[in-house]
Amino acid sequence: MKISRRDFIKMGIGAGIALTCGNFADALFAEEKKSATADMVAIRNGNAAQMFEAGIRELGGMSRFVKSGQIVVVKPNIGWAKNPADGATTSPDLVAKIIEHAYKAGAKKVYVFDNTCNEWSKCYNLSGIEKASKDAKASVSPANKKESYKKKSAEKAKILKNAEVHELYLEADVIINVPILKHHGGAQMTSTLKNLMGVVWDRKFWHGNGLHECIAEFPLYRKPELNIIDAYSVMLKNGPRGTSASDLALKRMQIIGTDMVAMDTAAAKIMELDPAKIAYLPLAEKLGIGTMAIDKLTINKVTL
Amino acid sequence: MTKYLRKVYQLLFFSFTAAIFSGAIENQGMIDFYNSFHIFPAVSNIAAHGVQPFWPVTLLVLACSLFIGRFYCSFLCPVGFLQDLGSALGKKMKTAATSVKSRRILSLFIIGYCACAVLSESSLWGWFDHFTNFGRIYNNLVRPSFNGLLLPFASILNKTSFQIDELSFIFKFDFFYALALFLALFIGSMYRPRWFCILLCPSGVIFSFLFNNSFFKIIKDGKCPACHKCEKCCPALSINDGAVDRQTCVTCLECIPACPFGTIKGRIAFDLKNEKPDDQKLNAPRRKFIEKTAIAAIGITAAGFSEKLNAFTGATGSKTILPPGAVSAEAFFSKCTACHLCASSCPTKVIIPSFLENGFHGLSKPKLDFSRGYCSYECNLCQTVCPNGAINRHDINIKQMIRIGEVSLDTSPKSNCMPVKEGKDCGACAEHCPTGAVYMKRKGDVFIPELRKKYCIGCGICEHACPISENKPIFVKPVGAQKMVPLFKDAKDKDIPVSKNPQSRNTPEPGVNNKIEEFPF
Repeated sequence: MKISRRDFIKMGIGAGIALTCGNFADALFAEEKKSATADMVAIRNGNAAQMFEAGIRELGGMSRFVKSGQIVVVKPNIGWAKNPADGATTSPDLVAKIIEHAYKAGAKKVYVFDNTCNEWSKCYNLSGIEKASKDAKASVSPANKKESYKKKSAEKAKILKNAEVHELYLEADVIINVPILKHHGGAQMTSTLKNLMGVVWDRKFWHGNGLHECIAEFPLYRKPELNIIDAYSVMLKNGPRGTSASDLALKRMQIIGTDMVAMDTAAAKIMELDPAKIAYLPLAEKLGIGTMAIDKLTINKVTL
Repeated sequence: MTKYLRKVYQLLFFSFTAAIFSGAIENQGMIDFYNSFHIFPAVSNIAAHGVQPFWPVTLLVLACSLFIGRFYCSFLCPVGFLQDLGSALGKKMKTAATSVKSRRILSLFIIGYCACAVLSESSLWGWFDHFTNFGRIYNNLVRPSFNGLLLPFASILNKTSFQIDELSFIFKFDFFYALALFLALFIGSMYRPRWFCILLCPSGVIFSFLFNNSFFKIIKDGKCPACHKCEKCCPALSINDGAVDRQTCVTCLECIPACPFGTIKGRIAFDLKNEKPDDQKLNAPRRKFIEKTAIAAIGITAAGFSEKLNAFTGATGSKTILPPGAVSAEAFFSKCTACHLCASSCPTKVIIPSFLENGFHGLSKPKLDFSRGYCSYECNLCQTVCPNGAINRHDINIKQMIRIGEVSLDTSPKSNCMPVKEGKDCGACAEHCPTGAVYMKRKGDVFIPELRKKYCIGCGICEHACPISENKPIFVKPVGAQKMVPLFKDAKDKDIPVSKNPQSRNTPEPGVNNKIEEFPF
């Protein structure tokens, strides 16, 4: 195609208008989002899969986050070789439901993985997540070898300046972060921010150089597009592994949203903890990862 | 045809062996089935623990040799397979001997020695046993080499459930022992095919004794123009001018189809006296018997003597951490022959051969090295695979209460522990502890680890997870004898009913805590 000078100018003007309007529309749309859809949805009194169905509908459906042909990573907590009933790993039904919704929204492929603390095959198997994910046609792969991790650096970080991050976490179009809410001996609480420790290779660096700082800084590498906190049965003490059923409390809740800091603040309250005293939350807020002022946000509350 | 069939069998059984040794098969029945094929470990297991589920297989292997000879040696044995590979090369290069006279003095000595050792529950027979030696070659040489060969493809393979470890040779005694043995078997067979089977193997002696008195015979019957085709194909060099030496014959049956005149035949004959070679004088059998008995008796005496010596050097208590179910150093070292099956199938690869930490008694015997891994709480594979029951077998919930080591924690002001030294939260040890023996307690602004020693099983995951690389503040020490510990339960807390059934976790149970929790925000 030959382009004349006049055509070129026309196109230039057109593109300019489109760009300006685009920016404007974006701004408008963002405003609209705030009024029409909630920042965060909290659901209670159902099973994990039911609560997710209701919550994602309230948030505008999975198609808001996953577009046709995209690669999606679902990152549950599979850290421990424990049964789903032990409350140490994300509910497999919930993971399956999320995968199902991602495929319905047009995802090309959904991956599920976690860099486990216990031996990976035992974790994948006992947690029930491998089977549930495979049944939902997701690709489940072990993440226990260094070759899958890529060296990255974050300029704004003070301590976690370099990290080896799982290639799928870096390359996927959409990350869906699905922690289970638990007590944690070192970090006090495991939720959305702490769950991302499972996509890096060298966790010992985090423990040995400032756990709270590293947890707060990691989202500087990449923030998940969607977070879902599984707070059905919540481990209130002896976490993150748990020692007996007496560590668990049946809360039957779930939080879905995009602001990890806000979600974790709400989650801390479910765990009957003071969010301000969980050191990584104020640190993450300071880094601009999200806000702890959840009173100022619109939280849609759904009771099933 | 027989030749290829035999190779297929050998290859199949070798693959089975590799699958068991690599830990790919975790099924108890399959592992028991496999282990029951090997006479010495199987009999030793029965001697120590009573009749095993697959004892008919062990009996069948023995019975088969009575009827069809050493089929185990020619069709199944992985050491025989290794030697056949060597002799195949030897035949190609024309280095292999064409005929040898069999001298069985050494093997008689060994069988006496081994039999005595098995019955007196001493593990010294392992130094001669073919299965044990194969295990050592596999774990210390074959497995790491195989990993090394696959290393270039690791980035592809590791995304599947087929996992490649890093190059994991441990250049200590066992590596050199395995290397020497492998070279001896392979290169030795290039010159003297199947030398181990004929000169050393104690199982081979048992088989050939049974075969010697068996109903099945391979005989020369009819015209033999001395074409030597049978001699050339024989993998054990047991045919001389068409006469089969039954002491060394491994009944591979290759000579029968190899004979172009149909002179070499297999025959079932119930008359035992029929087949005496001509040169045997009347009193020769008796003299031979006395001779053999004397040699075996020397072996038995030697076994008793070396066991005394062995017991003398054996240390009291263990200086290493033993696999769960080993009970104590004394009990373990007297049964374990160091076949390294536990080490090579261990999913976390925490089990490695020890050197002389526990004296000669403990040489090559497995130990746990927590700098390499930890003993996985949900795993009891080492107990499942142990072919002679040196590691006692327990249900997983019992194994989870066996104390194999004792945790030691230093949180004094001089300690290296992160929260103590730098005032930063860590919690790696407590988060990994599966029993609740390590937990975090608030002290000032940070949480520091504390112990409930009573519940520690010494799995070593705290030591392994600790981010401090040198002078770890938390580590696991060996214990004198393994004991059961109680299960940790927070007595102060009232039990909140939560379903133990994984399926029903996400459906609220009727009548159980059905009040709707309020959002606290």
